[in-house]
Amino acid sequence: MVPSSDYLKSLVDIEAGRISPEIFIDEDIYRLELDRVFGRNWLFLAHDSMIPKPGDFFSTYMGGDPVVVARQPDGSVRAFLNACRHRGMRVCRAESGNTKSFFCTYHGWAYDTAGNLINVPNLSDAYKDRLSLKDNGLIPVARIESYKGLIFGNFDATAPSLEEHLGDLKYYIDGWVDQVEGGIEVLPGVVRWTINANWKLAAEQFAGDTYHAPTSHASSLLSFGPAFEGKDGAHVAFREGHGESFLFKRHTRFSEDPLSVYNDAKLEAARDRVGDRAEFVANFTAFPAFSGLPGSSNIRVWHPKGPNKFEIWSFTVVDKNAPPEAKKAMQVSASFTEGPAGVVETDDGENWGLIGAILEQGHQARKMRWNYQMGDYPATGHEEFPGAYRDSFFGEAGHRAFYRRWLEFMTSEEWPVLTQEERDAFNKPGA
Amino acid sequence: MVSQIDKQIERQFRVEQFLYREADLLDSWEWGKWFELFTEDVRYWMPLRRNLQRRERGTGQLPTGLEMALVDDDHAQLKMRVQQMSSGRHWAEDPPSRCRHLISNVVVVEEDEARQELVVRSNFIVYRNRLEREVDIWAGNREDTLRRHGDSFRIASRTILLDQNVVLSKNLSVFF
Repeated sequence: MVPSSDYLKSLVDIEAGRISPEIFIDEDIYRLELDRVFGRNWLFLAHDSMIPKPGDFFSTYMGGDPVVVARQPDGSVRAFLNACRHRGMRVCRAESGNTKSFFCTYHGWAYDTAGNLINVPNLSDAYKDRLSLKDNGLIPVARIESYKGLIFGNFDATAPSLEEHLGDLKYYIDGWVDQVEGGIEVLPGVVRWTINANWKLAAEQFAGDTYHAPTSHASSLLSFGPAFEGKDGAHVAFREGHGESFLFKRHTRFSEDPLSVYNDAKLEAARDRVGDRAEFVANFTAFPAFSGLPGSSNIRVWHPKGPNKFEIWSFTVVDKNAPPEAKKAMQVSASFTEGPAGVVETDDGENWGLIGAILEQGHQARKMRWNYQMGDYPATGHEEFPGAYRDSFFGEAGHRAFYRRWLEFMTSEEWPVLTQEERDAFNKPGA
Repeated sequence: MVSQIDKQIERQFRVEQFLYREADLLDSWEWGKWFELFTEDVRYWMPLRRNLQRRERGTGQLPTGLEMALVDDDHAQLKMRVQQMSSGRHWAEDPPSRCRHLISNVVVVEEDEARQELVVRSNFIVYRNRLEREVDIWAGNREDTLRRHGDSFRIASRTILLDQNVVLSKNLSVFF
């Protein structure tokens, strides 16, 4: 049964900072989410550097659906459902590569990299030439747009542009991906693992939950540097449903490694381009399922695999023009800290998995109203940094912005367009 | 006089006993003693396993260029992992997972007499049971470089091929 808007609103009380965990476990809510959140929003597909040449492709997911993203001969990017139009069989089984065509190994239908059906076995004797190739191309992703090399897709042709959706978060993304001439690239190899919990737990954590780090990551972060306090950073919420929190200064992990040497060497030039943002150590989520870790440098996508299961896809980012030894050091550093075996992230998996297990079996646990009240004071604002800025590293304003937007999508038949007045009111200091 | 085959049997016996005792240290939560089995120039590496088209796969299973890995530790990093296990605040392993490392198919691939090193491949199944009812079963292959050390060995490199593409667990918080 489709959950009613009234029911959904009873689960998510932004003003009170109370949210029912039903939204993390209920099957009907999950099905509606695939349609109204994942079916209408900008979802990260790939970075330009992952598919530089015509014929390059990358296999990923949008919500529950497999899609292939492919570079076209004219340099543009298209994406389509990775499912043959004949029987819905997967047409691409490689995770990435270069090809001229996608060939369905069930009955032999073949598609070019634009998704056009170009070959059907026995077209004349089986179909008597009555099959329209033109009408049987792969299902296209309606919209493809990119921002500074970050390629997003949207199944909803009516959605506002990617840039409008990213809003003021662009300012913070710029401070990461546009620090130096040439921007960023993604290292080969996407690290992927599985959590038995709802995808929103990870999305909300990256939207501003720095509060968990001193406790959850006590065994790893404290060995990298001193403990941090609220005044060492800030958190920012965005009306579009995004959130970010950041430390003002980078804590160097291994002072003499080539990555730190490179980061120190570029700092002045990076400050000239992006000011204080050059030193931020940050985490953010762009609604709904695209996250990033500026500073420790990786991109995250949270792929839902059911109400109580998701996959983490982690893409490691380096400056494109960084020297090879700095890129190697980034790879080694990320392999040490991030990923399923990362000394930091092993403990995140423990948290999310145990929450998922409680919701899977629990009854009383599903009647709880979780507490999202931290940072529930008026935005303090900042003359330089946009969005609803609050002057503590710790806070849940980004979480609340995320779920406010989530509820709008879940309860709206039409694409819930935001007005500038709504944005301004949201960001207003002291409001 | 000791025949060639006797030498090989003895070598196989020593290698297998070393690997079994090493596995026993892990399953007994003796991570500090386990760490002493690695040389200071060790690389402890668990690369990704990728699904690629035939022409892009190459002939080997290991990446040749720069590529992300699940684990890519030197001696200092491996030491930090071991210390984390004993920190008392590594919640993913507190209380520690119950593990069984089953090591089999042990093959001495080559021996370099001059370097006093052997290349040894083995298969593993690692069973993990955690807290009340969590179970993970990981299978894979390891290629070790064992350096002779008295009448035993030290591990000078370990490459772990985990037989999974998407890692199907919430973490890999144990050693392989």
